Amino acid sequence: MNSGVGPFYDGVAHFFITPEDILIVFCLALFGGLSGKQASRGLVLVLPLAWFIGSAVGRFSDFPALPVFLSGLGILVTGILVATAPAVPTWLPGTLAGVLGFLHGLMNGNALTQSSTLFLAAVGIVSSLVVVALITCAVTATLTQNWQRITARVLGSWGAAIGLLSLAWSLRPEGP
Amino acid sequence: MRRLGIILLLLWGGHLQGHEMRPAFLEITEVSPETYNILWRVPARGEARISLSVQFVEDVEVVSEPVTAFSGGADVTRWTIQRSGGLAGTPLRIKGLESTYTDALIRVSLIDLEPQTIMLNPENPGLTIADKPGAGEVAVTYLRLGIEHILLGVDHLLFVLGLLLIVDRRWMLVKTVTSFTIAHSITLGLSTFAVIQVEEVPLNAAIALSILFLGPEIARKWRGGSSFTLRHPWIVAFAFGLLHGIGFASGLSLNGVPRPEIPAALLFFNIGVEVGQLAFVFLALAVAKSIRILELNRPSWVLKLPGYAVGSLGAFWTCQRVWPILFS
Repeated sequence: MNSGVGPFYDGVAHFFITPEDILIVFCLALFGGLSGKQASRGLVLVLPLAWFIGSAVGRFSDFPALPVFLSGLGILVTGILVATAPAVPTWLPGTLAGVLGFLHGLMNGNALTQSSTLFLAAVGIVSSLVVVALITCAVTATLTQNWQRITARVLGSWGAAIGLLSLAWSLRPEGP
Repeated sequence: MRRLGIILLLLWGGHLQGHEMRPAFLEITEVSPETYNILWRVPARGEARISLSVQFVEDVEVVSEPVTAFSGGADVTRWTIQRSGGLAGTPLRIKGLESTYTDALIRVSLIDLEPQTIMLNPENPGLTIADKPGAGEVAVTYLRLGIEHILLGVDHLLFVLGLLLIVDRRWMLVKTVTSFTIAHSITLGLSTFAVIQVEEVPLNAAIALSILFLGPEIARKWRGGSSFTLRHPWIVAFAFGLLHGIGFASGLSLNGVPRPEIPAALLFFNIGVEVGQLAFVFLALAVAKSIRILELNRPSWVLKLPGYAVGSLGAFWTCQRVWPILFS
């Protein structure tokens, strides 16, 4: 992605025009927010770190390209967790964010081919996801009314539906 | 840890540039049917040149060979071309633009048609010369240029961040940001119409000094002290806003834009700058509020990192920009 305004904004633009990246961060942040402030704190610290490490590993190692369906699967699982809002231990959202953040970072690392601008582009991506995760977690964590929490869960169910469609699309059989 | 943070900031500061965003400019004027005067302006800094060239359709004939002269910090090339059937509907491309971070402002004036103003960028280095200009092209082009200019002007954003760090109360924040906006709008206008003219090197040094100035004020606020700046931040924002407005004008390329269009171009560029600036302010406030809501416990050096960033980068840029004035 070339935004025309430098590698940092290339990273920002890359994040906002990559639906699977923004969706997974949004769903994870909803999950963290619904699980409470403590779970959210773990999530907003682990997610960017895991994403950044994943980007570096994906770019500078011979790590094989990940199957595309993983991204849809991650969104589906996280969307279901948001929609059902189960009572989970506070470490779970952060751990899930660590695993999925690392995987998406790996995919980003493979996609970022200009090594000279990789660092600033990765900083742009991670800065964007920190802002989205932080604000979404904070807004969701303050939802106290039942109808507000149900609205957040409905958003999660939409995320799950998109994840399911994406998963089915990536696993469709090749045509003749 | 604090020292390590400052060292990292200074190392990174070397990669950050202030408002160094002068777009290339191409003017195509139809002087008689199917004959066009071309003006091609590529910004330069010292010996450094950006490798850009204009590519018309192949059957264009060169009537007078290109003549290049260095003027106003740019290489200005003029020549005349001719094409049977005219240029309307033909593609045009700025070769080399895709491998830069520069934009190119294209202005096409065809006989009997309203002039077209289009901005090309590395993502879209080419266009088809329209036989009918689109509505609001000037507005969109300069709005985008204004937003880009503030997004790339890390020094301006850092100054705004410094203001956010010394202002607590909401009303005072509104007053401070508004006075900064009014001040830089005044000097942006005056500078664009060449009422004020300041050399780029001392101007950039003064802008860096304005950021450095906020560093000790932020530290004073941490210690619970008081000063004129902390009591009346809007006056300081106004004073330094006058300076930053002249800096914004460097990103506004009006060469070749006809006089009737200049007010619209200036207005939309300024609106673009405001949109970018307000987006930054709201984002910074939203992030700060979110951190408070989530009760993120941060060590004191993390809390002070934005303040150190303002002071350290202000000091670094001041040294970097004052050095050539003193020793060149």
